[in-house]
Amino acid sequence: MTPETTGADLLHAVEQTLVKEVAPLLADGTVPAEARFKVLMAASAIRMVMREWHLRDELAALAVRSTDNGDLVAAIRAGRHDADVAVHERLLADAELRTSISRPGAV
Amino acid sequence: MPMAGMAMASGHGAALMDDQACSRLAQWLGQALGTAVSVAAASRLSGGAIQENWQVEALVGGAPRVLVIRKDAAATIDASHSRADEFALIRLAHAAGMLVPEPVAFCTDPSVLGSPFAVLAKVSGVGFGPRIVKDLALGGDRERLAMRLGAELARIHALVPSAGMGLDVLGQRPSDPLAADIAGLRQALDRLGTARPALEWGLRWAECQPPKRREVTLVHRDFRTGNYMVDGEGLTAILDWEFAGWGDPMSDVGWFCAACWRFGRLDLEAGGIGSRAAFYRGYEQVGGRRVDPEAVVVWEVMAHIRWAVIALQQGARHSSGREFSLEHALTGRIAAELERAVLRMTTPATTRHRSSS
Repeated sequence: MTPETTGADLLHAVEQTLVKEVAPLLADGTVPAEARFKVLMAASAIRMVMREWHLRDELAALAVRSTDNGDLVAAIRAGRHDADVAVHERLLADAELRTSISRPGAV
Repeated sequence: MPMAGMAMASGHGAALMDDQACSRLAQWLGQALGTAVSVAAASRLSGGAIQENWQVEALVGGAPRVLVIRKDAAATIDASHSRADEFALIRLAHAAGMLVPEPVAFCTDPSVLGSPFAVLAKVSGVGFGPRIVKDLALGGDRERLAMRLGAELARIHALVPSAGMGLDVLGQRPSDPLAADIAGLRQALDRLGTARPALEWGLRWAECQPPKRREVTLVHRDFRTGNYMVDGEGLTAILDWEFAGWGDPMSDVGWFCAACWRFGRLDLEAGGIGSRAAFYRGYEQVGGRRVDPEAVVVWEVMAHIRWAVIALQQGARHSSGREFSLEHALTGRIAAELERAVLRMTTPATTRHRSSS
């Protein structure tokens, strides 16, 4: 039995349609260059959503830890975490995870 | 969204200014310049997110001229000067012999094009950062270009605003520019209403690195690849003066060299186009001021934080519902990699706390 098309499959199909079928049609100079740029931006946003979906468990764990971020901000400003290796490691892990969603190619 | 009175016809290539706006512009320009002006065509240039740029082909007193109009976009971010202030700064730089577009006229009357605008002479060349970094046919010899940019930056730091400009254009002269920037960025983060502990970490780190030297000069505040133009020979203009004000001259050096403005060429530490050594050499030869490499490190961290805050402000323009824009929404997401860079530059083991003297 053929499995049902998932939401992720559909998103992937939309992204590929925009990049491989729509964008090339907009490169012939008859429409403003902005149109092609916007289609490629839309495809990029879809890829971001897909990566976010794949990492949803990690993001959920991050969200739980982030509930105290307001307090953390105040404590950092007050100097209570200066050179705090554990806080730095936690913040870096968060930033690495979010970067892998927004720009996986970033060195 | 087209501005009132500037409906765009987007059938072919670039967006065009409608005929009525063109004739209002021609009439106003004629009065401002005291000669007959006709406008043949006005098309929208790929502008920044903060302002709209239009290219205008005109006959001024019978002679063909290509002009650029800069006007505010629908919603502007907080730290940006008005067009009038930017025009005054460009006039100051032009009078000092710097490479800036020739300032032609300024219109305060919103009935002409919907909002105040500056008219500048069109400068030839390419300004798009990623292209300048990749296309080595542009900009001439790259080490010479880096030196030249360092020299131009030193000239900016030597500019003395004239009394007639009004000091309100530049704001208050801070006694401690680093502390002032840290306070300003914290305030901006509070206004955004989202907790960004990674940026707070970076700001607190910078706060613990007081500069040895405390200098305040005119600073450009957006001097980077993407905000100057080059042709096949070299530099043709320094653009985007809208953030200029009083500050630490090393803040401009840090902004120019920050990894986030190298457009992928991380090895070329001067804006992705040349060596840091050449850029510093050009700066020191012209200004006579030494570059303080330790202060520059702090300002490079600050550069990433500031760009992250601007990116978040852009994202908020969309997410707040003020202005629908996929581009702004995606710009907000750039903050993550900037936060990562800030944290990598401020790892506790490598942090050197300087004694303040």
